Parts: sequence; C-alpha cells; structure tokens
Amino acid sequence: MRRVLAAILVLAFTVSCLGCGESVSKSNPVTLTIWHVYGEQTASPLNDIINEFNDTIGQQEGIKVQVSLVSNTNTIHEAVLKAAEKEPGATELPDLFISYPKTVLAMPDPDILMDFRECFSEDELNEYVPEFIEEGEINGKLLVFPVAKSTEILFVNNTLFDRFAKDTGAKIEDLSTWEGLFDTSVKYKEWSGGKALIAHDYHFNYFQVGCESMGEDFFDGDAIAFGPKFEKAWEPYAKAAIEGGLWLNEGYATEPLRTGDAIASVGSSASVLYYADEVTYADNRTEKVDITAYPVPCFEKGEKMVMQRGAGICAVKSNTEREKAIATFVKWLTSPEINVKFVTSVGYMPVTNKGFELLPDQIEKLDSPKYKSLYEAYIQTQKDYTFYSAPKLDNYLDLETTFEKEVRRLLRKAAMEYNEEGKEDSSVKNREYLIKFERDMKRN
Amino acid sequence: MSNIIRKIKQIVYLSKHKGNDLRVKMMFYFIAIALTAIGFLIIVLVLSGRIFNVSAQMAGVMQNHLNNQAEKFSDELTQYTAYGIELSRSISKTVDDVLEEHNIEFYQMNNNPEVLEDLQSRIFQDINTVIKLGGSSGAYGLVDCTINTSVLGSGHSRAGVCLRLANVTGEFVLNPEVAIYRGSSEIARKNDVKLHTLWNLEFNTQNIPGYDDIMEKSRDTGKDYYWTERTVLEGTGDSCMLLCVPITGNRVRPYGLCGVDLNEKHFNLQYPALDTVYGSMITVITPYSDSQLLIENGMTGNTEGTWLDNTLGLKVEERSYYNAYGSTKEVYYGLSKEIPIKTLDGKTWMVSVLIPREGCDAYIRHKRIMFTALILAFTLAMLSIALHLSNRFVKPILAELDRKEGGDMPADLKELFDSLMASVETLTRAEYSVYEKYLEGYDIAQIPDELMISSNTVKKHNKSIYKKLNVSSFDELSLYFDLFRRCNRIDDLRKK
Repeated sequence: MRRVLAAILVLAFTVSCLGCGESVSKSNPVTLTIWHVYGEQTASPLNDIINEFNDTIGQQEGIKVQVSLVSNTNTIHEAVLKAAEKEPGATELPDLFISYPKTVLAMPDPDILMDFRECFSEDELNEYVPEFIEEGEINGKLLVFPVAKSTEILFVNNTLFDRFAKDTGAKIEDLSTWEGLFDTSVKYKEWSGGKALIAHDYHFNYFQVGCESMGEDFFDGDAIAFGPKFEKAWEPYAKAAIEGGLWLNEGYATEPLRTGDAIASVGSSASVLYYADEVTYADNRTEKVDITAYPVPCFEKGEKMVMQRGAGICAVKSNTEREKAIATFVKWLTSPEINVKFVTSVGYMPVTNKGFELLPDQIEKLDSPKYKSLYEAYIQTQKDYTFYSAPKLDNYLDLETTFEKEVRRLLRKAAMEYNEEGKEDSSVKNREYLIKFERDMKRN
Repeated sequence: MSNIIRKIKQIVYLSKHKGNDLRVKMMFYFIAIALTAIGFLIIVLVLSGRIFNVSAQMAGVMQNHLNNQAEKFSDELTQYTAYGIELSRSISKTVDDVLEEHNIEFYQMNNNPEVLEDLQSRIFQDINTVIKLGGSSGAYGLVDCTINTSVLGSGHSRAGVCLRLANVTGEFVLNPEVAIYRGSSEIARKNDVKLHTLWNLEFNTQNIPGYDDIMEKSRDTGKDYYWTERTVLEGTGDSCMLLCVPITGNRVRPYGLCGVDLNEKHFNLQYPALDTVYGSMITVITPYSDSQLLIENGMTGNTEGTWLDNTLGLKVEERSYYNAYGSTKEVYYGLSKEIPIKTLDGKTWMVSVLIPREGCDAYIRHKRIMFTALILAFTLAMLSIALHLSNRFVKPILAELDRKEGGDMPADLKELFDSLMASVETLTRAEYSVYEKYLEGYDIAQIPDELMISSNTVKKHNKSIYKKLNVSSFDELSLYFDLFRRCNRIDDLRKK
C-alpha cells in the first residue's frame, strides 16, 4: 500500500512540474530579417529568390527569410551604424544585411557579427573565389561573406549615340579611353545643343583607379596623395566637366539617361537593373532605345584596371538555432546553381569557382540584349583588366563622400563661370579648380 | 446506504467522544474524502469545458489585440484621410492662383509646359510637407491636364507630382529622403530630390482605380474620397493602398486628384507580429466577401513566425470561441472586426488577427492534458490517502463496532451470558418476582415493601437466587445487570 501511495505522489508531483512549464513547442518558423541592396525601388529579383528559398528549403527546415529593407549600401551603412550604436529612434539590426567592409570597420563593436568561418568548413570555403573571401576578412574573422560581385561598366544609349555618330563621325571605340571619351563628350555637347554625353556614378573611383592604373598610389596613408598622375586624370575630366560634356548633378547616372540628358554612363554593373529601355523627354515624348554595356574606359598610357565591387553579407550573432538558420540560408544563396541564377538577374558575378563554370550557359538563357551585352562586357573585362580593390581605411567612406560632393560642387561652379565668361579655352579654369579642389580636400 | 450513514454517525460519535489523536486522524480522513470528490468534479468540469477553457482564454487574448489593432488602424486611416483632404484644398487654391497669375482657363494648361512646371513646382512643396509630416510612404497630386496632347496615350497621361519615400523604415528620421516618382525632372533637380528608379514624367490614369469615375461624378472633396484596394505601383515591387481625394475647384469637373499611399512596408512596420504563447499573432486588414478574407487585395502586417501567403485568400469558418481561416496552404485561428473604410466598390473591410492553427492546437492540447493529468494525479493521491487512513484507523474501529453490534463477543463472556440466561429459567415464581425487581433497579431494602413480604423472606429468596445464578453477592448480580444493559441485552435476563 505504501508503495502504491508513493508512486501516486511521485506521479502527481511530476505532472505538476510539467504543468507549470510555460514552454510549448511552437510550429513557428525561425524568421530571419534581411536588409539588402539588390533592386532598390524595383521589383527586386533577390526577393523572388528569397521566396523560392522560403517555399523550398525554408519550409523543410522551418526557416523564413523576411526582407525588411531594400535600399542602397549608403542607407544601410547609416542604418547599421545607428542601430549598432543603439541611437535612440534607430531600427533594430536585422539578422542579415548587405554591406561593404567599410561599414563593419566603422561599427563600434564588430564582434556582434558572426564569423562565417565558424559555420563553413575549410573545404566549403575553398569552393569560393579566394580574393572574394579575403576581401571580407576583418581582424582575422570572416565577417563579410561574398554573395555577389560586380565591377564598373560603361553603359551607352546606342540609339542616340548612333544618331550623333552618323552626324559627326564619332565612333564607339572613341569611348574606350578616358581621353577619347572626354574629348567626344565635348563634341557631343556641341552637337546636342548643350547636353552631356557621360554621367559617372563614382568620380572618386575614376581618380582612384586612374592613378593606380598609371602606376601611382592614390592614397598617402589615410589621405589622398594628389600626385602628378592625379593631375593627369584631372585634366581631361575637368575639361569635359567645365565645357559641359560631363554630367555633374547629384543622383545616380541612370537618371540623365532616363531623361535623355546624357547618353552614356559609368557605374556598377548592377545598375543594369535600373536602366529603362526608353527615354522620356521633357515634352513627354518617349523613345525606345538600346542600352549596351562595354568595359570601362582606361587611360591611353595606363594599365587596363577596374574597380572590384560588390558588397557582402553580414550576420548578427544570435542563438544557435538562428545562427544555424543563417548559415543554411547563406550556403543556399551561394550554392553555384542558385548563385548564378541570382547574380545574372541583378547584373552581378557569382562568387564560387563552380559558379563561373556555369555562367556561360546561364548567359545563353538570358533574353534581354542589355543583360547579354553586360555579361559579354564582363567577360571581356575579366580577360583584359586587372581588378582593383579599395583599401580598408577607417575613413574611406568619409573621404569618398566628401570627394564626391566637393568635386561635383566645384566643377558645377567652374562650368557656370565658364559659360558666363564665354571664353574658348577652359584650361586656366581647369588648373584653378584643381588647386581649389586639392586645397578643399586637404582642409577637410 | 443507511448502514454506511449509521457507520459514519458512529465514527463521528467516536471522534467526538474519544481522544485528540483519533480526532485529528478522522479530520484528515474526511478532508481526503472531500478533496477526492472535488478532484473528480473538477475533472468532469474540465472535460466538459466548463472550467479551465484554454480556447476561451485564447479568444480573450485575440479579442484584446483585435480591438487595439482595429482602433489603431481606424485612427491612422482617419489621419491620412484628413491629410489627403487638406492637401486637396491646398492644391485647389494653388491651381486657382496659377490660373489667375497666368491669366488662363483651366483647359489652357494643356500643352503649356511653363504653366505646368510652375504648378508642379508649387504643389511639390505641399506634397513634400504631407509626406514628411504624415509618415505615409508616398503622396501625390495631379491635375486633369497633360503637357503634350499630341503624344500617344495622352488621353490617360496627366501632369502632377508624386513623391515617395526612398526608404520606408521604422527609424525616426526628421527629414526622410524622398524620390520623385512622377513629375518634372527639372523640379527634382531644383529641389535636390532624386528621380525614382521607375520615374516617369506624368501619371497614367489607367493605373489609378476609379479615376474616370471620380472625375465625372465627384463634386465634394470632403465626401467623394475613397481608398483603393492593394494596388501594385506601376513597374515597382511596391504594392499600396491609395487614397484618392478629388481636387474640386471653380469648374464642374474636379481639377484633379490627390492623396497619399500606404505601402506594405508601412503596414509591416506599423503592425508587427505579436509573440504569444499560442504562436505568432499577425494582423491583416482586408476586404471581406463570400465568407472570405481577400488577403490578396488587402494589407498584411509583419508575418514573422508564420507562413502567410499574401496572394491567397482565406476562407472563414465561424466557430464558438474564434474563427478558423483557411487557405490551400495553412489554417489560422483568429477573430475579425469590421472597420469602416470608404472604398469604390463598397466592400466590407475587416481587421483580423490570426495565429497559425498548428501552434494553437498544440498549446490547447498540451494545457488540457497537463491540467487533467495534474488534477487526476491529485485526486488519486487524495483517494489513496483516504484509503490509507481508512485501512489504518477507521476499519478497525468499525470492525469493533460491528462485533459489538452483532454479538460477536469473546467465547468466555458469551458462555457466562448464556449460563446466566439459563439459570434465570430455574428460578421459582416467588424468587423470580424478587429477581425481577432487582432487574428493574430496586435495592434489597425496598423489596419487602414492594412485594409485601418480610425481610427474612427476602433474605431467603436472595440466598436461593445467588445460588441458582452462581453469584456471590447482590453487587455481583448488579454488575451482570449493568454488563447486559451496556450490551443492550438486559431483556435476555428475563424469563421467556
């Protein structure tokens, strides 16, 4: 009897303890939030890829990836820093965000980020292009994982350029060097009645890669060197800007191409997503146009060099379950077949060796002539050009932002003065503004 | 039954008249019996759903959240509608000013780039203010004119300005970045605003639901506004609800249309998923038709923790505490509440809160099993305690009582009783008359008067009685009487 009694009491106690427990196994998926840059203000192809993950692997593994923000790297940079510094009013950091190493370097505590080496084996990492992996290493940790890489490309509105070429004898080959391109831009301005030929998204990169391609260091420590090759790059560029052949307004290069205010641009290969196939003029007439991609120009006496671009993915440390989910998603996104499908929908390059092998077949499947020409230009660039990666300087972003703003502002002012003065020769103003720019940058 | 009650009465009697120790034990015994009965009662009530009803509790949580969300949405909608109406009045005044300054009629704005640019430049400021103050994802204003009536599709092309937030985030931003989605690129540059990636110069009114209708019929800004269902903005991945407010003025047809838009990202941030013990509770705001929530035409809050597909409708099945909402993919439990939204087709709109069924069912099952098992175990424990007390203390007492009651007395005592009863039969009539008086409680000294005999006669009869009954004295005889009386057998000592 005593034994029966004891057994019942033990059972009652055990059941009571179980009953008191709050936790109930939930059928909810682990939801990962992401901020990314692939398709700002458009129907983002990455969102479609993420939906595919959610419907397949995600369903099986109980992982749901939710896009919280599609923007650009600068916006994400600011949002990440605000969140990391726990600024009042800032949004919480997502589980995943797309960013350049410069953002991680600027974070108050990069240790809040996951080291991808902890969830990828050495064999797995060997599948990736070593330079891409190296680019994401910060203080011995792999904090920025490559998911897609891009470079700079020259986009030309061939429909309008052909019209100009027919009248003036200009050739598309003229745009293969910076000297030729800027020279042509001045002719185009005359022909078009004051419109610019070229818009450049990254004036800072033009000078940086330009100097390096001519064998001179662009940086002197954490400042700009302003050596003789800088002057060499400045001269044709500033001439085009002052005389009206170079677009100097703020905003992306896609804007003037959309309105017909420029017919060529240099920007990230990823901007292919944002080039419209028609131009809308100020009187609301529209015209269908062909946008074609070419390798970026180089200096006549310089090496063929181009900027390596493409941010990587960062993950915020969390519990084991979430970190496992993060690793599952990143491995899936960078698996060769998925990665090639993803990158070719957004104008990027894959990040694995196997992905590069699959690329030609995927390019064949592309319908858009614009995308086809982009990948032809990309393959040409890979064959002929040296890729340049920007140094990981703490003040890189500040330098870049100040440079972009100042150079556009000063040259707009110079162009206005030049127009008002009505002089033929712009060389004096060219020199004057180089000195001003150098002085302003050093002061900043 | 009467036997049991009698025994309980006896136990109560014993517990009252015996020592403290027995009383405490008896008290424990009764408490255990009472708790066992209560336990069984609770189990019956739980199983019948009368008490500890998890479904009712869950419905209570849903109802609270639903009321909050419905109130919040109604407030928000009222606020944005008010912004839209004010914007309409402001643009109406601006149009009048522009027409007066340029000394033209309204229709003369067609093919007039200079006037239209002037007008856009002015309404840009109002729209920019609305988007920055109001917190909507976009704001717009268009007039019923086009810059070029000779281009293809000019019948649906209308001039105006649409600004959209470059990034819809949850951050507090004093001066959020905006992009111009529709409007002159020159105005964008003058105001240092980027062109939206999918910029166009003018609006295509075919993409504004109900545009032609409102331009034909609308006369009153404050009454003829409406909200559209979720609409995908031309070329973007953005889908939004659009507020359309007519801009009325000094002509029969309205000057144009204006309003704000609330995109999905906005709803995502404003209506986050609530993490409850039943699972993730999400909010959807949708049209309702044919017992179906038209998710594909409404807005969803953050769907974190669920697999809700915002392209599939949810069939509503009403239940006692909450409803079941099912699509081909998943089923949810939840509640809905009607909210007043002025729309073109007059459909009913609902705010609904939903929790994935799987999580709810698992929770309800878990809680019900745990509680029932807990009460059952408790009841069984009480029952076994009662049994233990019964075996240990109550049973022996009852056995003793039964024995006393049923004459199950020790053999020697029984022999004594039988012998005494047999001896009574041997008494003579005279002896028995004396003996009977003793049996009735009389003393020796009272007998002579009672029976009208002498004391010596009494002594003689006593001697004979004692001898026949085998007792040595009157005291001994009295003791036997007492014993028989206590055993309720006093009558056995009478002659048959």
